[in-house]
Amino acid sequence: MVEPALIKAAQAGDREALVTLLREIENQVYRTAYYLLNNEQDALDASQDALIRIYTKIGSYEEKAQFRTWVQRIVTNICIDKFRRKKPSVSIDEHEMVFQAGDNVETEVLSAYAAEEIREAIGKLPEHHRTVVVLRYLQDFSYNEIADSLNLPLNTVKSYLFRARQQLQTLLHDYQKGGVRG
Amino acid sequence: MKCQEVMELMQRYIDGDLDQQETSLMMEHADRCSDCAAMLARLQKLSSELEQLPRVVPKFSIVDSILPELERLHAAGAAIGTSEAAGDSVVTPSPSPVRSNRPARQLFRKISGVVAAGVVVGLLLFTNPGEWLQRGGSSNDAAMPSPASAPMAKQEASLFSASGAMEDAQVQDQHGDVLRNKSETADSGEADISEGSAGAKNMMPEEVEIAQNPTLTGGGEEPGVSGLAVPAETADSPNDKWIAVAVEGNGTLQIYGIENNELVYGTEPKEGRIGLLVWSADSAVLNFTVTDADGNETQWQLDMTTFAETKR
Repeated sequence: MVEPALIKAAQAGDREALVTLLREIENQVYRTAYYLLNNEQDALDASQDALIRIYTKIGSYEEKAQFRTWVQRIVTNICIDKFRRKKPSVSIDEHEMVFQAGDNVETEVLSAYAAEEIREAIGKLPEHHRTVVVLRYLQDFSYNEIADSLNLPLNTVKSYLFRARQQLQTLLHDYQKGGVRG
Repeated sequence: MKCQEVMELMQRYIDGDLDQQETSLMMEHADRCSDCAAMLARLQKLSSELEQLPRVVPKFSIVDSILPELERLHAAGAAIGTSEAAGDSVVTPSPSPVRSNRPARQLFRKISGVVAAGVVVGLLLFTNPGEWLQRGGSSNDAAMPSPASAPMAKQEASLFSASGAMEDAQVQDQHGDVLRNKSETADSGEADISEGSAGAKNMMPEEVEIAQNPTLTGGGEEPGVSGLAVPAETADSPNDKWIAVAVEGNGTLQIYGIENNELVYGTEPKEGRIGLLVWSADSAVLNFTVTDADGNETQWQLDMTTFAETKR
């Protein structure tokens, strides 16, 4: 949690306060970028861009918004811009199914997915679903905070999050079945 | 209550968004419906795994790495909202030719760069050697099928300069002989070429030859003045272990082992021209400068132990 006094000082032109503030948010910015872009170097680049933008735009931050949602809005915008430029979006339509109850659900529930598999599965989600999941689980944001960060209606946030979890669940389910067979 | 409605309740339950009554509604249904019970278990497991994803941290201080840039912004009076426009231009450079080359970059990075360039150049040379030797290749359809391919052609040119540098270090390549012959030809006409560079415009074969120049003259020159010319700059490390090659055009820096000619490290493409390669005396760090389309310079360093690239 960044101290409001620090933000005020930074906005008032105290450069040292601004740099201190950037140091405080550096890790949370990087974490979002890393899970959105799925690549360390891209995440470092995006984080640099985001921190520089925050440095130049600190004056435009208004207190009525939460500082951390404002920060996340900047970093998610940069990341979305980055992965749109990087690769054409892959359709996830084939995974757009509602849930499937397998015969051996219980046994699958017992086995744990590795973090790596989950990260890969997140990378396969459409950009908005991915962003919502990252904010929910890597920033511990509430529905409202996600809505503020992404400038989306609350219901849209919920529907993205719910669908994202269903897709993840399906993707990881498929992955496991593939792994067993292959 | 339908399973689909329960699905929504389960999703909200996971986020702690249900009141008492909704929770018992959901639980009652799950007691009777094994499919939904299984689904709930899977969603809960997924959610707890998502919560446990590693809280990754950057391997170096990102703020430290941008301090020079912040300093520059501050000095330029761009900081803290006094000049929004200047700030914007740094953060999100407007679409430029450099940006628009990206798809080509991506494509070519996937191919093993140097080998592919060797083949491409070889093909170009074999297809129409006469035109190449005369440097009058603007009408060479094989080399320039359409204006749209110009960025790619430029990419080929810059990759070629890398392979030229490799050749200097005696890489065995089936096209080596051809390249060498070509080098000699270009060498003899060097003065002519540099004169021509100002008027080179979009004639791709000219670019190729200009790009090749530094490998003939041993490298280490200042990059050419005409934005289109893309000479590679090279620098040997003081301990004679590595050669750094700035591949202009796609804006990457590559490090090769001098003994085995193997690519040791290649940087991500930078937004701009890489130059001023300077090794530290102990060969532990390579300093270089990236100059973007607006002429803004950023100082970078590459740590040869960790291959971490940081802005200075």
